[in-house]
Amino acid sequence: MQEFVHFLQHDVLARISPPLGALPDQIVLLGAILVGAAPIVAFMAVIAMAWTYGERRIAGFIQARYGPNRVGPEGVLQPLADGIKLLAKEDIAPAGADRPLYELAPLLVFVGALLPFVALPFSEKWVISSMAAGVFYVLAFEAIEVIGIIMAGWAPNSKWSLYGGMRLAAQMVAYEIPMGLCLLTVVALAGTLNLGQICQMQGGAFGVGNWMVWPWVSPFATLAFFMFFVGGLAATKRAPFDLPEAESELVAGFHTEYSGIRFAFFFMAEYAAMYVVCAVATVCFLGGWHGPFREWLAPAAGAPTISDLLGKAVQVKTADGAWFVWANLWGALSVLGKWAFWKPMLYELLGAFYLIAKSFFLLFVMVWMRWTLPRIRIDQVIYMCLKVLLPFSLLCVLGAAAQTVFTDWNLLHWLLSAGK
Amino acid sequence: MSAFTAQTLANCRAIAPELALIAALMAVLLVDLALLSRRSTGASVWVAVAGLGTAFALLTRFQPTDAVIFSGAIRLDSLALFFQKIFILGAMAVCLFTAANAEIFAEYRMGEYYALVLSATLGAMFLAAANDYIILVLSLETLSLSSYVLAGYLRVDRRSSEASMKYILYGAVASGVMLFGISYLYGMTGTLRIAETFAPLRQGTQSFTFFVAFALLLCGIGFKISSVPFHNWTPDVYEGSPTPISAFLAVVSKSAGFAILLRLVLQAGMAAPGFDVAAAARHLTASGLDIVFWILAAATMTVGNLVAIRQTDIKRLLGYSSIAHAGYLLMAFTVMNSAAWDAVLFYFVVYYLMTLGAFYVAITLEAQTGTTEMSACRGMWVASPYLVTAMVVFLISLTGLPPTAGFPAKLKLFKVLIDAALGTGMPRGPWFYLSLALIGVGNSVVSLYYYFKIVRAMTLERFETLPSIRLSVFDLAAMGALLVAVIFLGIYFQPVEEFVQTALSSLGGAARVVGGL
Amino acid sequence: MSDFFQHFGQTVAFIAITAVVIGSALAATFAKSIVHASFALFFTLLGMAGYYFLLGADFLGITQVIIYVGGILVLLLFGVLLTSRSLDQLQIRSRASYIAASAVGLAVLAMLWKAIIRGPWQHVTPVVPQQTTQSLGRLLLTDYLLAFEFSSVTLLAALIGAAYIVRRREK
Repeated sequence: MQEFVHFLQHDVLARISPPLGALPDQIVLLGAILVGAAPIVAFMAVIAMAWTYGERRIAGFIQARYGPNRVGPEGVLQPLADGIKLLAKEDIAPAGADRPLYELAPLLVFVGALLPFVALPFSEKWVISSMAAGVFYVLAFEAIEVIGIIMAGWAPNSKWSLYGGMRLAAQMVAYEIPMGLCLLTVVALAGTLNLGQICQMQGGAFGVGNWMVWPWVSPFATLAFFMFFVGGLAATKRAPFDLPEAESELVAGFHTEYSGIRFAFFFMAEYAAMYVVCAVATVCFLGGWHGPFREWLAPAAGAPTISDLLGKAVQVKTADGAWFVWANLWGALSVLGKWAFWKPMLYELLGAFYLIAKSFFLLFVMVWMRWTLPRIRIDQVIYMCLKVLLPFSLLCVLGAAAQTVFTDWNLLHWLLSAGK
Repeated sequence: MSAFTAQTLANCRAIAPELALIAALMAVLLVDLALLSRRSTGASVWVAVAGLGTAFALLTRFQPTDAVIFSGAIRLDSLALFFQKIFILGAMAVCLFTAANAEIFAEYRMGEYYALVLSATLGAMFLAAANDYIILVLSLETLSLSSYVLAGYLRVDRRSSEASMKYILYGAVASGVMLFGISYLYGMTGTLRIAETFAPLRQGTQSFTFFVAFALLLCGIGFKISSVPFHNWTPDVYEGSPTPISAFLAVVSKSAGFAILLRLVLQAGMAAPGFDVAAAARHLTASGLDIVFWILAAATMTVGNLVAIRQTDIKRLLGYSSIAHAGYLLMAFTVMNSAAWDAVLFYFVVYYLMTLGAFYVAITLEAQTGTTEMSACRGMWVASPYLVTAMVVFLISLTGLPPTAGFPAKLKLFKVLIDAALGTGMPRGPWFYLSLALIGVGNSVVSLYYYFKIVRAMTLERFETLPSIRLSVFDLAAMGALLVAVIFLGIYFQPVEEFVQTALSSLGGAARVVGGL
Repeated sequence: MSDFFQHFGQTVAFIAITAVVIGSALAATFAKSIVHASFALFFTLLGMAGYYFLLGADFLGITQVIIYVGGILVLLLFGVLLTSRSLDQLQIRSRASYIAASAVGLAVLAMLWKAIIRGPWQHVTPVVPQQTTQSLGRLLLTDYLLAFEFSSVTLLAALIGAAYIVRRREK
């Protein structure tokens, strides 16, 4: 992403408008980050909207009733109506609330949910920052969300909120450990912490043969996948682990006292967190962007990349001191008419489709479970984490490490000769 | 097999005693888990003692060499071996004392107790051999964390919980301050090897920053040895903790603090591999640290002894007494020559015996009468003359009077100061050393008074009810052994001399490096 | 020109992070409510992670967030929120102790300030590390092998202690 931004800045923008090229790198990068953040916020909003609708329709289907079906065809505009309602609602806060914290909490939760998207790939090349410690990073920023949730639990001065917030924080912190260990299983097998690289090596036959989840790749990863998913359910307080907002006892948990736009922040953050868990599971276990037929679109060895095409197109007329070089702009736009441009584009698009489709399938399973399983007790939740998931995930890590060492002679050799 | 693996394995052989302790720690936990009932108490103590015994046997097999292992993290020299041996013996005594007086822990499971004693001992052992600030901090924390929990082991008892809490709060602050000091040292030299951080000192560049960094470092260690500005926790924690743990803190934890202090001081003079005692003294004196030690020593023994006068609880009194002893030991740090280190190590051997003995009497009192108040000891002379005799001997030794081992130990310390005052070529004038020696003598006289308050309560004061004391065979044997040792070493202390000489043998030698590092 | 902006950007980021760290640390110190103080600490700890990111130590930065924000601060907040409400408002016992504490604090600050200003610090040419994670992993398993393994004993001891303290009473 950074290289691409630099390329755009130096080789494209500078040719189209020389003064733009003189801008310092950091300002361009900052602009790119801001521009990049907008689609992510939009994506979060779309996910939240799509899945409120989806969840209610699926719930209706499971419970043999309709669900929302009045606003628009089959009720698809229902989330839009809900959104307008939330935006238009009066902003109320309880009288005894701690105002600064009360107002800060939804923002923190939202930011915490937003940050993992920085390292989360959408497709092979569509990732904001392909950072070396991506897996670690995605796990880390759950921490900010936890603080936001504790804040939201405390600030409104309501016992339901406090109970809900504490329960959720305890649950999230506890389940972070087995989830991290499950991902460590994958990291041990893949030998990298970079989400993109982990995903890249899962292609295999027909784009499905080498997914981490298959027992023939590693039985430990198979087990780890299921445990990660269970942990993900708990970390995003989905049923059967939804007792932080158990409506029968706690009204609505930590967001009991929130309404209007502040509630919408929590709501979006919740669905974003669900998507992040599912997307990470997809990238690490389910082959990410790999899928059938995608290899047909794979760029050949010497094929020009998008950068090459753009670079060539903007050399039509070199800058002659003009403030704006229209010929280069048209040149840059002309690549839109070329198959050589669209082929890699489709390749990425299909990758994004596979990744998001698999993630959405996992999201569907989450919803399915919610309307199928009864809620469990808090002690059972913690028991599940500490006495079931934790030992088994440790076993997975050990198994994966053993598998890595004993199936890779080079690594074994390296371990025996590591050092200076 | 590659060079690195071979080297690591060779290094692991060098830390075999520590590995034995780790194995014992896990074995204690597993045994406790396997026998999910009270029965595990008996089993876990034997596992722990067996582990400590194995570790001690492995330690005695080592020849004192000056080996730097694990890429310079650990320095296994005769000094480290000396301290590791006495830590293990101290911990073993504490385990046995606990098992023999199980009444104190009647309501508690003991598996974790022995596991934590083992981990604390492990921390102390690594601390004595630390050559690197990372190991120093880690091992200090292992020792501290285990001690915090052990101090609060009697969870139902409010005083025990309070002791634990106070210990944690003081300890956390002390560690934080110490880490801050280490960060300064790192910033000045760019290394975490203890010896190399003293490089500016050796090059003769005096800086205020170095002084501050060393002072901050001393805060952390001063807490462990309960030297004066950081001594406040000591009486409260000794009083509230289960008595065997008070004994552990008084002997193992305190000597671990002195072990690392001694190492820091000696590393200051490390020219090539190996210590140069004279150079260390020269460098530290040049930056005025002997004055710091003078103040610490004088303040520590004076405060410890003066406050001890008013105590009515034996454990609390022994707490103040242990502060005072830290002060006596710190006296040697103003002189910093070979004779001083000889005296310090000698003192430690004797200090272990007499302190463990005095605490064993306190443990027995707590186990059988439920309190260690002096008033509860009235009539003890009638109830158990043996116990009183033992206590009298230990207290005489703590005071430093003949014919007990405390006498030569204290004499050696004072002799170091007097020699320094009379000798030529010392960096400070004679009165610098002589005044400290006089303060020390004055303090010893004060200590005589409060130690004999205990004796008076046990023998002379009137009593209404006779305390019920029934000494078991182990009680008799343990007290008897310590009693004989204290008296015997007071008359014939050649063995201790030799033991200490071995410990000091590698101080001047060149480092032999294991595994070709 | 570009070089200037490079430094300019870093300087701005540094000043911004420092403002957050110092501001929130002061807020944590002077907050009347212990809950506010704890939440203020959140920004201090996050700002520290910001420093690490600014220095190119990404792994360290993430670790800071996981351990300090996700672990220690959450624990601290649990402690604060589960204690009695009467402790919510921090009380300064007396004016004298307040003044004494301030005086000692300022004296220590002055001493440390002088030490920092006068310090013969070792200056190293800053290098943006490549592949921090791999290098760290390699160091942990070679040069710092003992420290790495020994820390597990430290943690085991802490774990045993914690498990013991929170266990329900047997009788």
